[in-house]
Amino acid sequence: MKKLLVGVLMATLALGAVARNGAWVDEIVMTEVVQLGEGVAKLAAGDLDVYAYSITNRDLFNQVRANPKLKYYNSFGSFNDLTFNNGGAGGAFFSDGRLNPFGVAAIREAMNWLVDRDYIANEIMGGLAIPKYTLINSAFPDAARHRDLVEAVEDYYAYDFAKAEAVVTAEMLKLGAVKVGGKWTYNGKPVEIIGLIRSEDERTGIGNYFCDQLEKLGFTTVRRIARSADLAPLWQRTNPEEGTFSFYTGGWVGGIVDRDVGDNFDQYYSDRVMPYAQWVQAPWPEELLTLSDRLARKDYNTMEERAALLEQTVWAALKFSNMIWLVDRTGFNPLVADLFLASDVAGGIYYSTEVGPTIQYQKDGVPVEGGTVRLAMPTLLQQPWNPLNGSNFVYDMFPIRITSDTGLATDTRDGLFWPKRIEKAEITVLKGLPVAASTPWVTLNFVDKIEVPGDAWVDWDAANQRFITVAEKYPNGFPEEMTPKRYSRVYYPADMFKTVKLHDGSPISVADFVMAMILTFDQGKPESAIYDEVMVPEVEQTLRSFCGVKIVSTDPLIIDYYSTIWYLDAEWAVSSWFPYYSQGPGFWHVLAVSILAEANKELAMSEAKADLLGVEWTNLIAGPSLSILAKYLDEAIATNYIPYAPTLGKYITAAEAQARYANLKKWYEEKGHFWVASGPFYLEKAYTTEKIIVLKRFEAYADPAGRFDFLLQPKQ
Amino acid sequence: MRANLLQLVRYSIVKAIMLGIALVIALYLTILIVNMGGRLDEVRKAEISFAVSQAVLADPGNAGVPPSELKKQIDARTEIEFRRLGLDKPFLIRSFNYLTTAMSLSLGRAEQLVSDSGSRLVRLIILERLPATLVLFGTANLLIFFTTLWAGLALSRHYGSWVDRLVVTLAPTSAAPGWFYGIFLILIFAAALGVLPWGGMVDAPPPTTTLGYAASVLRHMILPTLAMFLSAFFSSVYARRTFFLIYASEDYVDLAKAKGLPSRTIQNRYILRPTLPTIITSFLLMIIAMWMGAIILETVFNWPGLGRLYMQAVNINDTPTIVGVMVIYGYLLAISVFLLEFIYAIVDPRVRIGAGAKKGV
Repeated sequence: MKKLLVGVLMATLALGAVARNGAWVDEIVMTEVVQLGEGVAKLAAGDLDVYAYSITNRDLFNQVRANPKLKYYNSFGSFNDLTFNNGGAGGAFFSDGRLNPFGVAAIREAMNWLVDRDYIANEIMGGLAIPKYTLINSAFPDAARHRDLVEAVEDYYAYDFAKAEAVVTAEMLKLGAVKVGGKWTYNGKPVEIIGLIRSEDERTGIGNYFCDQLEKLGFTTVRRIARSADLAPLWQRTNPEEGTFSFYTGGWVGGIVDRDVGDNFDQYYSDRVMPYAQWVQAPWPEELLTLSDRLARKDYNTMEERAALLEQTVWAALKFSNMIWLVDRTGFNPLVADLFLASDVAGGIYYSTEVGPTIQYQKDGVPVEGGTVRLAMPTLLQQPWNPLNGSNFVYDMFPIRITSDTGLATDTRDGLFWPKRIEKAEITVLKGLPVAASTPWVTLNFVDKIEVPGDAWVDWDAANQRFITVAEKYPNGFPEEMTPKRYSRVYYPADMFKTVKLHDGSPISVADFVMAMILTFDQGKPESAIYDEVMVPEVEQTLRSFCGVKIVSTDPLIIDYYSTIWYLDAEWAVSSWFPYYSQGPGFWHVLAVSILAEANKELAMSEAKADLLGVEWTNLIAGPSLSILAKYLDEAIATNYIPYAPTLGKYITAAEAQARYANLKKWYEEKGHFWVASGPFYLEKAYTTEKIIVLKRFEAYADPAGRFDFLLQPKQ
Repeated sequence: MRANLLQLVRYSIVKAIMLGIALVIALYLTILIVNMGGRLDEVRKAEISFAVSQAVLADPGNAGVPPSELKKQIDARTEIEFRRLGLDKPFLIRSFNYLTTAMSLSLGRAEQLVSDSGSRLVRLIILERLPATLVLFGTANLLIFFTTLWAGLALSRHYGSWVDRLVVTLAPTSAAPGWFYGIFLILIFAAALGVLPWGGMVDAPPPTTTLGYAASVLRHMILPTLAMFLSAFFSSVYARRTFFLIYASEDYVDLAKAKGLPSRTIQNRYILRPTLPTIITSFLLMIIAMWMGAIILETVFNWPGLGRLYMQAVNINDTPTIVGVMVIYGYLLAISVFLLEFIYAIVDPRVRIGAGAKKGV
């Protein structure tokens, strides 16, 4: 009997260990620590567990590296460049007659030989950078796909001062410049290079180094070292021909793994994307414009064709060199040695989407159940939280993501996806498109033509609150530019509506998914009660690629989606339609209350609309919004309000509506806010003045703890 | 009597008008300076263009979208943002809007900042930070004021003693600002000894009971208060002691001593009383200044005060917030100056209001 009891106890304990749902830790307490040095000092003193910020300070890096109780995750998404004043139509001469050396493509190209990228990476950046010669990020998939190309470019453009000098000398003489006493002059005056050098970070060192190199070539440099706000009007908005600057020390931040660098060439090497004068007025070579456009439109049929196109574009871009790339920055995200979490390889901890499911203490390599993680960021609670148009500051999105659930989980190691709420997916693309699937959960098919069923939803009639079908909008078929190239089908688990619960206890429902489809369009429609002109460009853009969505089955839930947009990776082509919006999770009953408030012009979900109307920006977690939302919640309860009733009324019964609102009211009365998500942590409380966020483990989370722990291992 | 009353009323009205004009001029100059005479519009347009384009390009939902579509989105959102901030109107018109909104104390809406709870109203942006600022800086400043007052008085009676010489020697320590002492206090008491918090206003997570919360706030106030105290104490005591010494060496004080009056009576009636106008002035100015906080000290201690908020507003050129803070300070100062005219007349019988404020003899 005794043995039986012990056996039952052991089995129970074992089951208990496996049966833990949701997160490994019980609580995450977030605070604000403004100074990076203080964050590292608190980690070392044991008063903090993780400082969620991608630091690039080499002194702090050395402190963390030297401390056996600390460790760090690296992130590689940001990079630095030098942007040159190409002179626009004036070319090598400014409108006042001054010489503009960077108006000559050959001189700009020569700057690749003038800068020692290894010196910048190792000395100026203290080892926290990798030399960069092309747009291809050294940590992202295209670097591995095109290793030969990258190496060839690095060989050709390796630091060579003599070569740079020879090219610059030849070109300057052609322009009529004369070297007097070792200094370049034109019309009797020194040729000045005006450098706009950012003061906030290591770019000061980079800018000064570049100026030193230019002075060795014989130029006279003028160094304007200032903040972003002071320099931005000069490099962004002045006419290149006026010559208010010669070069600018640029920097770009990347928060996600870029799996197709081809999308980016058009941004940096054409006048089609960036609205700044330097790009709009640049004398682009026709070849470069054509190549970058073809890459952006994915005008190729095989990966080999893509590789050839990319190679041509890279060399053409280097020949023109309106900007030269210097380094891929390596940020480090410090934390204590026994804490583990999935940190994004591009954006680090605070850009990661999978911290919630993976954060854990470990002892001897085994996750520990329970505990509180003390996490700090440089700032917190910057702007209102609402899922449609709330804050998109990374410092707000980070805790939002921890509370959220999504249809797919991001593989933080390489930017691919894994099923999270969905079970599996099928992707069908047109034959000839170079799409590949890297994971077994997505099935990839190729067809000659993608047929969209006539009853698929393709637009939204905001006046009558009903979807417009494909047959109604395109009775004669899709126009040629709207030929569907991708068809995604997702399958949700049969028991999803029983197992997936929201934080307020409500079960997820089909209505939440349909609401997401409605809100894809509604805000951009003038007839909508919540019309917002800020959303119009996005909705119009969506309509130009949106070929239809259809709920094939409600239980189990199966959703089809048709689009003109396709991706190299099948995993990226999956459209889950899980109710997670641009700025967080949104479920129909919470959104209904926000919609009522906005329809009555007491709140607005976007910052711009709130300011233009003179009302509060909808904030689900604090502030004057809460009492307004509470009022409309009571109204929704009293009237049993179903938003978009002509459509959603088919998916929501009166009893379901009452139950949802009752849960929401109880949640608000207990927690004091309306942030209802479905992720592994819920928002216990946000102390907005004290800048403290308390997140607690959601015990009813659908996944067992450890489901995504494989993200903690290096990718094989 | 009636004539005196009329004179008082006339004087008050003229004084109020003069102060009002001064306030308007000061505020409008602030608006011009903050906006660089209108040139700030170009800076802001550039920042908006960049921020919008980066937001659109970095949005994972825009992955794969044709560049021409992205450009349309960027252009449209930039234009809306310009309109939101009124950048489609001339700066001159906006400058008078800022001024009238501020003078009426409605304070209007911020352009970039939101309050801690997410509101755009400048009134709430300031009010939400006010309690934290008043609690810390009020406590510290009141402590410093009354301590140094008492110590200065006491030292003036013990001129030349070893304590007096010690204070004089240590007076230059006030050259170091409070945040400087703060850094060392944090290193000693938080980092090394671990007995006091590094910073912040309250424990994380905060205690759920009111008493517990208050105790936690008090504990977090110890180091910043001590930092401010150390920075201000010695030089303030030295200054007050020297000031009281001047009055302590008056003939009537010597006479009072010769008459055998108690030392406390001499202190209160013959030294402190005549210095009241100066003390009250310095007290009022301290009260006005304390609500502005201290930028660097708040940053060092992660204290959510108005100083940091003000610095944030300056950094992002949020004119309504900057002007809102300035106008409140301006009104407080103007009211204080106005009231002091009457307070002087009450505490100092030599002072008369109006008629050139001739002193009696």
